[in-house]
Amino acid sequence: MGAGLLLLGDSRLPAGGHAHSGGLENAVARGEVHDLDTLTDFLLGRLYGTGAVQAAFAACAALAAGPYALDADGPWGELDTELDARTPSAPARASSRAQGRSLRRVARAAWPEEPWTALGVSPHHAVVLGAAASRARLDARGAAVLAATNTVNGPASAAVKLLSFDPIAVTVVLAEMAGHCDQVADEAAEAASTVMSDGDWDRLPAWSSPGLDMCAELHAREEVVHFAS
Amino acid sequence: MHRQGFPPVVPGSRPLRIGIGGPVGSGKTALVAALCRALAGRVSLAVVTNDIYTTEDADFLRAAGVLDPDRIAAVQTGCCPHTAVRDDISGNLDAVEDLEAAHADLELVVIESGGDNLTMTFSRGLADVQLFVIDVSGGDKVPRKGGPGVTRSDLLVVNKTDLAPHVGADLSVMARDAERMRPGTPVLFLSLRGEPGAAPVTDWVLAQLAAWREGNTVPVADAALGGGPGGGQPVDTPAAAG
Repeated sequence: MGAGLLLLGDSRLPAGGHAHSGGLENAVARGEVHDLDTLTDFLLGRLYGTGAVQAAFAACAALAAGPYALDADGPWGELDTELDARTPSAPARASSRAQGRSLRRVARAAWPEEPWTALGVSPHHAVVLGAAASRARLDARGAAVLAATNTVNGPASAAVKLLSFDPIAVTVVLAEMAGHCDQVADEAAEAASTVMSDGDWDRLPAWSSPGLDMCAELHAREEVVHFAS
Repeated sequence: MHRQGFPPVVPGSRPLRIGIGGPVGSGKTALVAALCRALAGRVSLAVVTNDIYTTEDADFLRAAGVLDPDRIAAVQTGCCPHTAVRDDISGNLDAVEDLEAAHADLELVVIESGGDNLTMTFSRGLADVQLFVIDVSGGDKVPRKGGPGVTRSDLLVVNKTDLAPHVGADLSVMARDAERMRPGTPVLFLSLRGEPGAAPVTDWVLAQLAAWREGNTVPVADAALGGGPGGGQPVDTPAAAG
């Protein structure tokens, strides 16, 4: 695992992540997350729900892209449709595509020779993350690690801003989360490997996260919000 | 290898993007509204507003009747107004590109930042040209405090000059300090209360737009700015340098 992991995992990557709380802002607004324990619960739920799904799709995209080039004939349409089907909330789909659009802009600039048009203008974030990971010489598991950690790091950072938590205390939470991220990434990479060899998309993780779907729906109905999601 | 932005900017090839930054309450939104009024019917424009006052600001512009609602876009900044216009401009770029795609006749996009402090600047990847708005009620020491917003903006606007006598601000001190902190770059004194049209700023914007349309890089110095204090409010200071 090389420097590409740090490049794409850096929270300063200018791909729009800073403006997304992943449902945390709404959970805070409704009082569901109010201390470090409830934050930890929120992050674990997010990781093992949508995080596991995002990680598997990122791993598939990394495999589809290939180690040295983005395969324009890859199963991009299938991945897009399958992830849509696993994201029942329309605002959550929009958030995923907004972040995908921003990340694609960065990836196109970094690796302009690749046919990024194959992914569409607003691909799901996990899919373009996997493709970019491949281009940064990461394997499928590396892509899965990126996607898994991404689902907890963003909300954790948002919690520091919204609830005035001690950033060191939140880092302790994330440190405890790292082992879970690795576990999710292991399973995601394995699932992706199987599915990409037999094409049976139904075998990709399809964990639902109704609580997060609720957060996304309610957030989209708020008049004034600090975060885009 | 000569490195360029992404994508490389070709002056005139797309609408001009103007950034308006400045501290909370300095009059950014009022200035945007004034620009919209002054340019209505002359320039096809759209506005991107940033941050938690988004809804209120957008409503302000809509209520002023100066812009169709479909020409106003709102961006959330995740509690980091400066990040959204400087370090990670994704959300604003998306908004600008969507407006450009929706309005083929667009000539000018005004991007108003959320209120921040004197360190705020726009990335050159987002704004082709930028102005920074401060006001006299923050005290006449603000220009000499410096900060990238004051020293590196293409135009510094000192707003609410009508309040100067009431807050004990010496405009000549502000003008002298501003000239020292940003030699050779323009400063305009403005009172939107006295001159709702913000004529001097409008002239500056039109000068940038004219240069851009002709395929020139911006900012350009504007000779029209040398004529005296802005905002129709006589003040005993050299209002502009540049």
